[in-house]
Amino acid sequence: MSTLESTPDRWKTVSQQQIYSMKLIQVLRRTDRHFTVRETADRLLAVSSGGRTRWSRAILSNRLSLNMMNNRRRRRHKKVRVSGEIRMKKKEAFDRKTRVLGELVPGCRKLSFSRLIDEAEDYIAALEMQVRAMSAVAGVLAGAGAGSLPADSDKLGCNN
Amino acid sequence: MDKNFFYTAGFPTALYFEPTTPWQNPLPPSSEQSPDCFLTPTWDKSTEPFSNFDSALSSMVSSPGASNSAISADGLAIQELIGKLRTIDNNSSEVSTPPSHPFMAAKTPYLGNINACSSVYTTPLNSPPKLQLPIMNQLVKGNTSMTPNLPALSAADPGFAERAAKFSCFGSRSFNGRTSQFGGTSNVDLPYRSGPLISNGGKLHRVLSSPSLKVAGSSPPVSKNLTEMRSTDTKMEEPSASELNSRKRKSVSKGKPTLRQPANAGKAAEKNGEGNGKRSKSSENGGIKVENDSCNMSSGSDGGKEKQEEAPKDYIHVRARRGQATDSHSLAERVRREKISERMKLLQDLVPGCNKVTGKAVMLDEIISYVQQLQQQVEFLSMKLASVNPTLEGLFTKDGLSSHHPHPAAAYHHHHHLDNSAAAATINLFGQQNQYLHNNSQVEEEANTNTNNIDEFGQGHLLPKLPSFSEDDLHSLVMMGFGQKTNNRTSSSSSELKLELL
Repeated sequence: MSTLESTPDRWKTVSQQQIYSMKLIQVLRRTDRHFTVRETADRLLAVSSGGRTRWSRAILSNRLSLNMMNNRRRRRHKKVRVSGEIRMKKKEAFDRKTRVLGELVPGCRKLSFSRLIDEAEDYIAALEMQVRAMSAVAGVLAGAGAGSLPADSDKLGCNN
Repeated sequence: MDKNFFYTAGFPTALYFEPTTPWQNPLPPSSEQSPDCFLTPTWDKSTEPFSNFDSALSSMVSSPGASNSAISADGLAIQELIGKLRTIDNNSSEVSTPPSHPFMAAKTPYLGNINACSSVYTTPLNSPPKLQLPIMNQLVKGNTSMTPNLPALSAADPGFAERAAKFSCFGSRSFNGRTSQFGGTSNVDLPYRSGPLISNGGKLHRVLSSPSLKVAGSSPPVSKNLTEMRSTDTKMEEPSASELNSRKRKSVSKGKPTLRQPANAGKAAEKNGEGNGKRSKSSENGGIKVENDSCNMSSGSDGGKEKQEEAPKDYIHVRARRGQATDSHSLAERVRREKISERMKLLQDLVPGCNKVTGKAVMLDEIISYVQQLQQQVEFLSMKLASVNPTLEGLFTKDGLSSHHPHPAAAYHHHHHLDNSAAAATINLFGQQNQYLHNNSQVEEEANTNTNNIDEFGQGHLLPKLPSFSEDDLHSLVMMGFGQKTNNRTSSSSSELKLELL
């Protein structure tokens, strides 16, 4: 169903979450990982996105490692001081917030507002799925580590 | 800034805007300021000659009877104006008398009555049709060149023209400045704007005419200040001409608000600078036309905070429209805005707690905070997983798995056996159905019994405890699931778990 795959709703299905969890476990067990757990989780999320979204491509491109992101955030913001108007100030605040959002969503810094909103929408849905899946996995693995394997059906947070 | 000009520059707002209380109200609370670049240069230049008139006007308002004394104090400027106009056109006799009585007659009621002002304003125009109407027509039709209008105006009524020009431009500027402050208000105010403006112009005319008439009586043509008067006059003439035409006033006023509230700050500043530069040059052709053009251009480029876009250079026919875009720019902007609002609505569904929030800025705040929150959660969970990972590594079994699988044992000593363990784990994970509940319990028992060896056998022993699946089936299942990235998205049931993995 191509329509479902292209919308942020694809992240809501349980199957997607399950697949992600499985793959996450699989990848986490590798010993030859070059990325941190966070990064692997993000990359896996990006892969699950199928390359359709800008943020997924940005994550997978290696320039977006976590360290680089942190360094980038310290760049200076040009201060534009316009005298007088309320609307000018509102526009400034609006631009500032748009920029912040662009920095939060990977790969969406210099994007038009509407595109940014699209990307953010998909990214938020994907993040939610990621949180659900990872919490389930963490619960399972923690349980496994502690010697019990609770049924995790309730942890999956079926949203369907 | 307009406010500042009004109050600090001594411009008597009381004088001009008493009858226009709806304007006054938006003024004080609004902190909107017109860009300095837009007004300051012209104001600075125009303040000087007008400071004389300020006191004169205020005195005129307070005590019409005492106008003589007040005016005489400022008579010099007025005389200069008159003289200049007279030198331009020697038909002073022809023009001096006709408009006098309408203005004089309507002077007192003028201040308190907008309609009276308007009527008074119009009457002199109508009364000497031969001179003034053509002048007005010229002014109305277009300020392509104010120079020819100037002698025409002077021919009609030097004092009238001068003072009207001065005060009207003054008033127009102030008016335009004011409109920016409440430019957000709909076009409902425009009738008010034009009305009071006309009334202001009328007032100005009247005020000017009375002292001018008195001065005319004394008639000292002062030619020494002609040049500076001329420069100010040109600036005044043009706005006064616009003032004479209510529609044109509307266009200018409309243009100015849009100019002051640009969606694009850079563009607006640029346009303001343009307008200022041209105005400061006091070009005779400049004035209103430039203002209109700049306003129109900026309004065209404006995102359309005001729905007052005008066709460029067509400021005669412009009318305030509500919610109507007249050019492609604004149309495109509207489409864009609608798209954005659509998407914001979608995001509202996504981000919890955004249902009551309206406005892009607050929504953006919510979105940003939510994204940050989600990212923090992911971070926390990844840290948790990282701590669990060493145990994860150890969960792979060698003996348990290898004994049950025909696959090479090496595969299971490596991470490939993860598949099975992962499959088991996922079956445990996703064991939402009854079919696996007993398996889970069995697995749990198994895991409990194997606590000591959980590192090695915890997972491996799970596999034989799942009677519903053979290891081969599981393995194939898992491999298929892992092999494919795109799986059907059907909701899972226990029997469909395999399909999901597929």
